[in-house]
Amino acid sequence: MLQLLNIAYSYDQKMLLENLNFNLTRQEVVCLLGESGSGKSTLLRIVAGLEKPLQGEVLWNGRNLANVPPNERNFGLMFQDYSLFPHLNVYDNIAFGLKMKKVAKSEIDTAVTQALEQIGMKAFAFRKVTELSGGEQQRVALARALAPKPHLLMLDEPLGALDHSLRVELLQELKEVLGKNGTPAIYVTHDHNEALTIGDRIAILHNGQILQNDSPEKIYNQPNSVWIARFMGMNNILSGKAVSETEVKLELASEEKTIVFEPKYPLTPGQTVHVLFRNGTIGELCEGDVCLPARVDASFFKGNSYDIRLKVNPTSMFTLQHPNQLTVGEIKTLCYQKTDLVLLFL
Amino acid sequence: MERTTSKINLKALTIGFMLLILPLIFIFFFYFFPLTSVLKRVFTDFSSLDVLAGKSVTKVVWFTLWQAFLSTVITVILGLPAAWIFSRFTFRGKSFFKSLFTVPFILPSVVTAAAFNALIGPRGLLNSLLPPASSGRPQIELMNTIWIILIAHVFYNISVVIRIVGNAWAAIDRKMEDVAMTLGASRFTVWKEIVLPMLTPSILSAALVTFLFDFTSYGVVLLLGGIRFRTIEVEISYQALTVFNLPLAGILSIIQMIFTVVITLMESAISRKITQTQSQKINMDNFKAATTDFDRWAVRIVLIFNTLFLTTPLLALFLRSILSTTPPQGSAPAGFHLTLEYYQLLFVNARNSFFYVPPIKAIWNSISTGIIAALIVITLSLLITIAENRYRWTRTVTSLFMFPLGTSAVTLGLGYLLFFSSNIKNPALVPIAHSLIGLPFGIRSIRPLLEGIPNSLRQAATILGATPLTVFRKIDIPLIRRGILNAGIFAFTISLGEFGATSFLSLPERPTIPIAIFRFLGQPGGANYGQAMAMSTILMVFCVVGVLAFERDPDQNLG
Repeated sequence: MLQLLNIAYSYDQKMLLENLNFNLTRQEVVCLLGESGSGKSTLLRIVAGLEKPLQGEVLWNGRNLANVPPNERNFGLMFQDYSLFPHLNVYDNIAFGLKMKKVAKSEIDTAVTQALEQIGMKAFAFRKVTELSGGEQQRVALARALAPKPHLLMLDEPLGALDHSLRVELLQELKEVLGKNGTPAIYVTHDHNEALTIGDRIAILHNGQILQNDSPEKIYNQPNSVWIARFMGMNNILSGKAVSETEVKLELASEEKTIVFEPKYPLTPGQTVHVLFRNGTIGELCEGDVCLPARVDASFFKGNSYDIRLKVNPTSMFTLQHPNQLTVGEIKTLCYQKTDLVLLFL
Repeated sequence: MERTTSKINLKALTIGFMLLILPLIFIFFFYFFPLTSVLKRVFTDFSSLDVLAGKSVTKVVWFTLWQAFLSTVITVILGLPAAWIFSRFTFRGKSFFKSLFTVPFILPSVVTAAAFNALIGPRGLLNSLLPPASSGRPQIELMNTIWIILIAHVFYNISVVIRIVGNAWAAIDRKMEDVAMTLGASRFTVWKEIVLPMLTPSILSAALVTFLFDFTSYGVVLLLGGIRFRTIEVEISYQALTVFNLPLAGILSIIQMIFTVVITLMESAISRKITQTQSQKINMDNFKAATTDFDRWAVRIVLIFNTLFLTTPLLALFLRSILSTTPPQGSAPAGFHLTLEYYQLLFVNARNSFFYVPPIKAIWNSISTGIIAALIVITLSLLITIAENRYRWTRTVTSLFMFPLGTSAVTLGLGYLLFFSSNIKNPALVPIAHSLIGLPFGIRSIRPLLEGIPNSLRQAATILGATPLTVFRKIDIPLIRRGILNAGIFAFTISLGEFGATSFLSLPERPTIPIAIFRFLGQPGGANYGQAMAMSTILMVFCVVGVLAFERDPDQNLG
C-alpha cells in the first residue's frame, strides 16, 4: 500500500530525515515512535502531501504521489489539538470532508448521523466545537477524519493533550476503529506505552532515521540498541568487553564477572558490548543463572510496590521493583535468568 | 462579617476615588465641559441657521461618507495580500518590512500631505523631472483631486489592515488549513471555507477603524483636496475659523460625533468578539518559508509593491527638502541641485515673514509641548490604571477616559474655542488638548501590563514583608515600566503631529511643527515649499525614531 523510498528532508539547512524507507503493507497500525523533534510529524506531513521531501518518493499502491496535491490523496490527518474548525458546529465539521467530495446531501446526513452515533455524541450535532471538552473534541476530530473513508489515517500525537484516564479510554476506542478493524493508520507518538498498546508495528525514529521497525513484542524483548532500550524505559544496562567469541566480561563494584552468551555472530575479543538486564529479582542469595551484587541506594514508594535503586558499579545504577522498602546501604543480590539478558552492540 | 465587608468597601471607595479625582477633574474641565459648550451653542443658535446651511451640511456629510467608504474598500483590498504574507511566511527582513509598512500610519497627516505633494504635486519630484505638458501645465495633475485623497488615505491606513488582519490570520492555526486540505479542499476552497469565515471579524474591525480614520480625515483633505473637497472635519474648521459660523460648525461636530460613536461602538463590539475567540498563543509553525513558485512570487510582488507605494512619497519628501530647482547664482538654470538652504532658512527670522519667530522655534515648541503632554498622559494613565487594577468598582468610571477616542481633534478645538473663549490664547491649552487625545492610548499601553501581573506575585511580596506601597514600587513599577515608556512615546508622538486641535489653539508666535508646515505650504514660492519639505522631513524623523523605540518591545510585535 504505502511505500516511502529514500525520503530526505531538511529544515533550516539541517537534515531532519535522511534516506528513510518505510512501508505499510497491510491493514495495520504502525506507530512512529520518537522524541520530539525527531521528524515524526514531518514524515506525516510528507505522506499527506503538505511538505515536499528534498528527495525520495512516496508511493501508494505503486503510484508516485509527487504530483498529487494533499486534497486529492484521500489520506486523513488528525492533530494533537484536533484543529476543529471553530466557525463550524460539530455536524458541519464532520460533514466537511464529505462536502468536499461532493457527496449528496442526504448521504452526508446519513453518514454524519452514523458517525455521531458511533462516537456517542448524537445530541451534540449542533453544538459549537469550542464548547466541547478535550475528549469530545478528540472524538469529533476522529469522526471528521474517518467520515470521507480515507485510504489511510495519520494521527499526530492524538492523545497528547488529554489526561491519563481519558487517554486509556480513548486508546481503546481508537484500537477498535483502526488497523485490522478498519482504516490502516500511522500513529505518531513519543509515549512508548501508547505505542506498545496501539501499534501492530512500531517504527522507532531517531536522528532522521528509523532505528528499528518491528512488532511491539520484538521491540520490547529485543531492542536493537542501547538508545532504543533506554527510550523504551529499560535502563538496567551494563557495558563490558568481549573476551572471546561468546564471553563478555563486566566490571562490577568489587569483582569482575564473565557471562557466556550465544550470540548470532561470534564476538570479537576486545569489542565493547552492552548487556541489558530485563526483569530480575532482588534477593539475599543467588537464585538464577546470573547474579550481581548491588548496594541499595534509595527506595521510592510506587503504590503496590517499591522502586529500588541499586548501585551495581561506581557508574551504573539499576532500578528494580520489590514488594518492600529496603534499607539504604544494604548489599543485595540481583538474580537473572539467561533469557532476561540481551546483548546490545550499539 | 458584614461589618468587615462594608469597611473594606468604604476603604476601596475612598482610595479609588482619591486616585481618580485628578483625572476626573481633568477630563471634565478639559473635555466634557468644552464639548457641552458646543452642544449648548448649537441649541441656542439653532434658529439662526437657514436652509442653505442644511444643504451644505448634507453635501459635506455625503462626500465624507463616500470618500471614506471608497478609501476603506481600496485599503482592505490592497492590505489583505500583505496581511497574508506576514501571517503565513518567513522571509528575509520580515520584521524590518513590518516596521517599514507601519511608518505611514504613524506619520502625522501634514507629513503625509507634504510627502504626496513632494512626489506628485505641481512642484513635486516627478513633475520636476518630467517635461511639462504641451499646455505648459505639469504632467501629473493629481493635486486637488479625489484621487490624491484616496491614495493618501490608503497610504496611511494600509498598515491598519496589515496589523489587525495579519495578527488574526497569524493566530489561525495553519494545521486547520492542512486538515481541510487532507479532507479534500483545494487551496481556494480552504481560503473561502476556512480562512475567510475566521478572518471576517478582523477584516470588519480593520475596515471600521480605517473608515473612522478616513471619515475624520482633516490634514490630508485640507492640504491635498483644495477648496473643492471638504470632509466634515475640514468644514468644521472652515466654518469656525474662516467664516465664524460657530452654530454650523457645532452642528457638523455633533453629526461627526454621532457617526464616530456609532462606528467606535460597532468596532469595539467586534474587537471584543475577536479577543474572545482568537487564540492568544501564536503557533510558530504557522510561519514557513515559501516553498512553491506561486508563494515565492506572491511574497516578492507584495513586498515590492508595498515598499514602492509606501516609501516613494517619503523618499520624495526627503529629496525635495535637499534639492532646489532655483539655480544658485551664476550656474546653469536646469534641473535640481543639492542644497541645505531650506534647512538653513528655518533658522532665519525673515522680515515680512508670516512667522514672528524663526521657524526653527516651532520645533522647540513642539518638543516642549510633546514632553508636557507625555508627562500628563503618564501621570493620568497611571492613576487611572492603578485605580482600575486595585479597586474594581472604578471600572464603571474609567470608561469615561476613553471618550476622547471617539471625538475628532477639530471638534475638541472648537469646544475649547467656545468654552475658554477669552482664555483661548493660554499656551497651556495646546499640551492639555494633546494629552487628552493621547490619554486613551496611554491607558491602553499600561493597562494590559498591569492586568497581566498575577496577583500571586503581590501576595508573595506581601508575605515576604512588603507594604502595599513597596509592593507597588518593587513589583508593579518594574513590570509595567515598558508600558509607561510606551505611553510616553505614544503621547509625545501624537502631540508632535497633532494638527486638528492645534489649528484652533496655536498662537501665531508659538507655532508647532505641523502648523508651520501648513503655513509654509499655503504660501507661494520655492523657498516656502522647500521649508515645508525640510520641516516635514524633521517631523518624519522624529516620528520614526519614536516608533522604533516603541516597536522594540517584543510583546508588541506579535509574529
